Amino acid sequence: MLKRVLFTAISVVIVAVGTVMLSLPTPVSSNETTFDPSAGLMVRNIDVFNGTTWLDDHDVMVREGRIADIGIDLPASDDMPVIDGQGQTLLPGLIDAHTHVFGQALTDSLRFGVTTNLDMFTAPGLLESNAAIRDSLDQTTLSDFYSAGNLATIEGGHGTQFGVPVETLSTPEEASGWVSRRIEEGSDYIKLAYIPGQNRLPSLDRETAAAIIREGHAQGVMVVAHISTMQAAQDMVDDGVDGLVHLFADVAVSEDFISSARANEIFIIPTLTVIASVANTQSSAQFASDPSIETFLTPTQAQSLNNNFPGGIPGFDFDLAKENVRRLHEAGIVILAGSDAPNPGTTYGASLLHEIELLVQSGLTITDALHAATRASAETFDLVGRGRIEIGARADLVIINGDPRIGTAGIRDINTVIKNGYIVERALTAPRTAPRLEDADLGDFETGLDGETPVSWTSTDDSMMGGASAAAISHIQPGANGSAGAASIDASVQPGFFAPWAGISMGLEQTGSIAEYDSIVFQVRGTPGEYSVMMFNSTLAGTPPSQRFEVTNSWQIVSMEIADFVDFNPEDFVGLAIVAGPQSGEFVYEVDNVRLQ
Amino acid sequence: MSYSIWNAFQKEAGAELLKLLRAPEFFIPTLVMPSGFYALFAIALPGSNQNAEYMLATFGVFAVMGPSLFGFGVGVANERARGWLDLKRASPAPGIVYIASKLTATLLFASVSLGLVYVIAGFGAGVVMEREVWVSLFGVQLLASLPFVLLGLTLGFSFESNAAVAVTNLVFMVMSALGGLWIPVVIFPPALQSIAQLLPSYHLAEIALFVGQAPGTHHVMQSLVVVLAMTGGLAALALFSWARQRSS
Repeated sequence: MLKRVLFTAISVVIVAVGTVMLSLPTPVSSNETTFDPSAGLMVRNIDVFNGTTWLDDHDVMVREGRIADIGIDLPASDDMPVIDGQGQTLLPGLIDAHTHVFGQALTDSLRFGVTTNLDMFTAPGLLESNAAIRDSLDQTTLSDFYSAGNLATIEGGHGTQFGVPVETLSTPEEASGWVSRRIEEGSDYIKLAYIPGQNRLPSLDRETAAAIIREGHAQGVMVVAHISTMQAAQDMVDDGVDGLVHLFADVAVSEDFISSARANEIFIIPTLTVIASVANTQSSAQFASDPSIETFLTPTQAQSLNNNFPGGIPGFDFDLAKENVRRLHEAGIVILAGSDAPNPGTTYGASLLHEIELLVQSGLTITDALHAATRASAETFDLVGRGRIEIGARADLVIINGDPRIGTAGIRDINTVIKNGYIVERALTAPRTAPRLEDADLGDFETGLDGETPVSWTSTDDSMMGGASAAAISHIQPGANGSAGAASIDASVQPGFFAPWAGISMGLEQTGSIAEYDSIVFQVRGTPGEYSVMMFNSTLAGTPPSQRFEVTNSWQIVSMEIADFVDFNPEDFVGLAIVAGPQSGEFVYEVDNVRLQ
Repeated sequence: MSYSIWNAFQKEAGAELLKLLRAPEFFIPTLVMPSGFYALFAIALPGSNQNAEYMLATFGVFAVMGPSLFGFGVGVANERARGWLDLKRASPAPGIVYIASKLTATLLFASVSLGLVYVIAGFGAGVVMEREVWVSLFGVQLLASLPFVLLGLTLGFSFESNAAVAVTNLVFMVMSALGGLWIPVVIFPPALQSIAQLLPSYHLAEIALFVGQAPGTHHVMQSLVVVLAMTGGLAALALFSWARQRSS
């Protein structure tokens, strides 16, 4: 009987536990955003643009992150998920041939169908493991990118004004070492800025630019040039540059230029989006208000699209630009689609769709424009498996509602984005704000200029924009009202830049949201005068939002409402500056206890 | 094993189970307490639903600890007090039968208690895991009862029955609370975190968390080594206590 008890008990427990184990919930791929790679994906009855030509009403099969088959009525196993492509168009994942990868670039561009970005200047730190990451076929929320890394420019020249440390050069002799270091950092190609003939920013001279082109080629990489005039473009073409990352809009393109461009087989990335923005056409604001675009823009993207360049920059005639594009295209020069995001009037991803429309407005057919945004860039930059729908290519795909060959809706109405064979979640989930900045204490300067917070204080002045002002900062003791230390600034504001400034600025490593705070408060004393506080968002814009305040010889508390900084987005706070100017003079002042309240 | 030992074992184990089943006022609460606690911490408390998977790993260890400590700790002490152990020593069945039968009963008991926690985890707290993970976690937690069995034996051999109840309760509470079985150790102040490192319950929970694929780093190899060392130590201690009480 005891034995029976034992065995009954054992059996009952085994059966009970066994039943429980078999009925416990296991993960099921419930939503359509994840497909098991081994099951693959079939898109049926869709009009396909393969990067070069159209294949109407075809099936495309994806397996393990690559295009496995293209044809009509493809056989497939029953468990392969099927997308019905009737009334839709399948495009290769788009390639933005000119962007700058910062912040949310890779997630934002992917959500708009841009599966590959060609970055034309970013912080070299991003390049380290990039090659392995972009080759991977794992599921991802990030677009892939290739990069120029650090651009080639002279001290104080174009590219140095964005707060990213740049290794500059100024003589041909430095070119060889400079190029090697870029390649070592992971640059896939070299970009240089050549903007002679204007006095807003200094520029590399022609000899140095030519040396960079030679060295780049000698060391096995392409070299592209940022230019803004036809003369500069001509110089670079004559010196052997592989391509231009902007089109000039200062004059009508000459026949001489066209023939030399053709003879040298250069390519051009017109970046009409940014020309339209500098020329203040409001084209991007209109584009941004289209519901099929607007719904998928983050607040930062929307703001970027609606931003404007400061007015009055000469040499950017939008109509001339479009005309130049038309003539160059008709002459057979390779045109690539690039947005120059995230400059004012542009944003990641969406602006490439806009650029495609502007290329069509310039006279390219939609097929040519789509080619410029896919296969053309892939072939130009030798991006294997990208920009095309053919067997073996990466399964980076975009499904558009409707047929872009009909009407002028372009490809705004994106239905689905597929990256590495996985469907990408396009919808914005929670409001995409940066994490709340927890530490409201931005600078108490107790023991030094930088404390334990992720904040760094540096001097700032308009010399980065070509002005003549200068600021030097140091830590002094004691500080205001008995505190241990304060920041001391020696600012010399001189005329030169149109809005001179010199002072101290603070930057955060990562953007944070300060929407829950009401004001910025600090203490200051020093040379009497009118000073300003500037607040920075991560989107590049013209003049930063600012407010003025008075300084006297004794410590004063200055408190400013954050809401009073016009055009400042408190959800995207990346830094601030407390500066003297635009009044010229020598200003010595101290700042302490900078905090948010 | 020879037939007679096997025979003796079966009967002894059967008797242990019968003894258990005949005291529902004891075994039902003991069975249900871990699941009750788990339901409280993983479902009822606000903000807890993200932690249900984590708590399954830690509360599972908790669920096997009770039967092991009490079944052996208090059970053995009581039997000692009533002179039952002396009787057993006089009987022809070797001591291993006594231990093995108690172990069998404890493991069956612990399986049911653990199973209940899993039922709540899967169907009440919304935990979803791969089948292999469910099963391997269950297995690991069941194995985790062994160090506690040895600890229980030590307590049972060392204390008189009243004291044994009190001491076992104390040990049980300390192991659970300070070992991080109810609330994750990472929330504790550093001093308490160091104490946790000394407890087998903490290390067993770490192993369980690793097997359960909970997020966060769990130094499983470290904890495994510690657990094996502690189990060895506890086995020696149990043996020593048994020898000591035998001669007294």
